[in-house]
Amino acid sequence: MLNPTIQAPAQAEAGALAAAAALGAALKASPEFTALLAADQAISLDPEAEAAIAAFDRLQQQLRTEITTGLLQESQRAELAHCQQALYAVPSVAAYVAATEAFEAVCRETASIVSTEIGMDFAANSRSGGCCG
Amino acid sequence: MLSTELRDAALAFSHALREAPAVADYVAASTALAEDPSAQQVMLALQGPQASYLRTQQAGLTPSQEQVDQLRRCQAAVRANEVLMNHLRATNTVKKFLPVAAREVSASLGADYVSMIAPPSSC
Repeated sequence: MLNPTIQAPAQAEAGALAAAAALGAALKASPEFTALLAADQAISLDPEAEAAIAAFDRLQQQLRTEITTGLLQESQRAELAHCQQALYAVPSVAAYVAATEAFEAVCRETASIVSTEIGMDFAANSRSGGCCG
Repeated sequence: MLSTELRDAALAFSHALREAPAVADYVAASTALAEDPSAQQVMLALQGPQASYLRTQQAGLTPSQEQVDQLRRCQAAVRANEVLMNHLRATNTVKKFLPVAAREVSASLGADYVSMIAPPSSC
């Protein structure tokens, strides 16, 4: 027979991970996640969206050095902002952004419940190696 | 507003987390610290010398021997305090366990839950 004092913590940890998986499944079944998947699918079938995304990616690549070193000139910053506005003006992209924000809000609400219950900021402490890790 | 299903799932996850040793130990250590004013005082006493030492370093100067000695005395007092050390150990342990639990949510969801719950300003 297993030692119950050793077995119990392992069972409690396994229970927490099973409950984590159940939360993931509940999120996956939510209408917000379904809407996000549909929005993602719509973008992949929209040539206008693909062209706008490609144009934005190209510009970001061109300006990568300036962006990472924080040395963007005002004209480059304006060009980037203009290109981003053009991207977000594409209806399927705007719908995708809205769907992402809606699902993120749902996820943050679940994390907020967890934080309250465990007395610790769950979102801040869920990232391995700290904020940027 | 969350659906009943999601709220229930989040609450069930929270309650299961509270029973996991890493979280249970952290909650117990936090309670012990909250109920021990002398331990809190030892922690507070460290903050002044620590800030002074860092300010001196950040200004490109070498901290004085007095600053070094004062910081070491405060650090030794923290290390000698069982409540503080328990809290520190429990915090380190829970910070290793929570990412594991969050990754389990992501695996089941099929998307990066941790990114989704990050505050908007987070890197």
